[in-house]
Amino acid sequence: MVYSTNPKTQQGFLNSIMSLPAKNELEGLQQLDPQAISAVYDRYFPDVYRFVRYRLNDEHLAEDIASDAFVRLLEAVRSGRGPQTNIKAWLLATASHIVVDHQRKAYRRPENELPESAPDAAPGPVTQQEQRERERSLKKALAALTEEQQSVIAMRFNLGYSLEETAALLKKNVNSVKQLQFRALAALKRALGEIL
Amino acid sequence: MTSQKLYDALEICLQALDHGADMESCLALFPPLADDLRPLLTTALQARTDGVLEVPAGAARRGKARVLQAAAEMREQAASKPARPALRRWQNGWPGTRIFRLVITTVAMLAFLLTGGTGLVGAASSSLPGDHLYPVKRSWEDVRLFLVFNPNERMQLEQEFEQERFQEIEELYTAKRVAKVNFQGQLQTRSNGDWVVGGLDVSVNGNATPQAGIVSGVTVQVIGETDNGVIKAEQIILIITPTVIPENSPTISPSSTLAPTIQPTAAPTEMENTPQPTKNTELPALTNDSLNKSWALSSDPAQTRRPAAARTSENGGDTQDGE
Repeated sequence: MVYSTNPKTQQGFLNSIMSLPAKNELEGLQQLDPQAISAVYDRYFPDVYRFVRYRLNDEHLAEDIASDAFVRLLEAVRSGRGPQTNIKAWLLATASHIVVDHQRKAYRRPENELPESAPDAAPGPVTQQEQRERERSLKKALAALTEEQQSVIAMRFNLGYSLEETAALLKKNVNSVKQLQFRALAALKRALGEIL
Repeated sequence: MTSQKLYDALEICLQALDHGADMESCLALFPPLADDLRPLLTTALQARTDGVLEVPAGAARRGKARVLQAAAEMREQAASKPARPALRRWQNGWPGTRIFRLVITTVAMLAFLLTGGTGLVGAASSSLPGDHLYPVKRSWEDVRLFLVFNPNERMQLEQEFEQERFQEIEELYTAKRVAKVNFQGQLQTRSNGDWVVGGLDVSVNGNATPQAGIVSGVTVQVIGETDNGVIKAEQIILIITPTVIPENSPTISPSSTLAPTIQPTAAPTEMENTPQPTKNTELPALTNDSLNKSWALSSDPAQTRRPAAARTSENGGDTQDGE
């Protein structure tokens, strides 16, 4: 992973990874071409799913939210309200909004909160219980953060995005992301301290 | 800036941890900030190790099926309602389309409001007192008067609206409707409770409170209610300050208007010979006042309901109204 605060590098990164393929992908989405839709889905679904799953303790709900973000993408592109260039940023932002909506509903209705019988993704038999508890604590603490703080934590420490990638996806400059990251970690630490 | 140094130090430490360095080595790079950085780096490591990295194959497959299903439904929907190519280009094609669309939308909204507004006024134009749209009609008249700055045009418009009030009362009589009315006109005769204002019979009973100084020939405002061909007055107001008429108006010249107006009064001999004068052409008033005579003799209601013209004659003839 390469970290750079050079604005030119950041702009070059944006130009190289986002503009050209996105234009062809958007044309295919607009025409509802199944092959184009499949290609877009295959390309972005893993990140969208992990981004959502990292913040929610419910595998099925994460699956629904991730696919819902793609359905919304199709609707938005068809109606002319979709992304102009950066499909991934649009998908992650939409998924983030849906997650926050869900968290708010869960906060209002605590009985629907994180299920106790959530499937365990970590295989180790000895640490299985500890791992599950840590995950539950982390997700609960994340839910106490702002949407932007949740996003920066998920992008930096789960998806492994660089500072520049995160800045581009959040539509912020690098220094703002550094500051946001600092505050997000501090808030997460406080939230974890309250839970544990 | 201390905060910025802290943000940068955190980022450098995270970068070092990514490359396999241990936490203490990172913190050794920033001894004054170590206490601040340590809990954050611990939290970052916890957030990283607890992350979910695997994507279940079933989840990706089910999600894709759902998205493709949604796309198929959208295609069906689009096929049942084919989008016009021009519309599609309009929505997505040209650069700057959004601004152009905004302008067009604004123009369309203005057109709608204007046509909707005039449509409402048009519908209100035939309304009568007591109708729901009648206030719209009167408000529109006020607006028109407000927008006229030329005194001549304004006076003509006021006369036009006064005529409209009389027309409304005639229609109320025809429809045998009872409604509140408010109009201005020349007081032609006054006999106990039976008055004639602008050719309309007005019943002034005890409840009405006519102002002092109201005599035949003055212009009054009548507020009352139509009732079977008569207006039951509730209030009668003397109009003290009539509209000023510019001197260059042909109707203001006493010499030009007075002569032809008085000419018909040569007929008084004819009228005086009439054995039984009708109520609306009471001759005593005519013989006593040449002005009232000219008004009463006129068979054209449009002439009899022109107080401004009457005032013109008064200006040239006498000072009965105190002008």
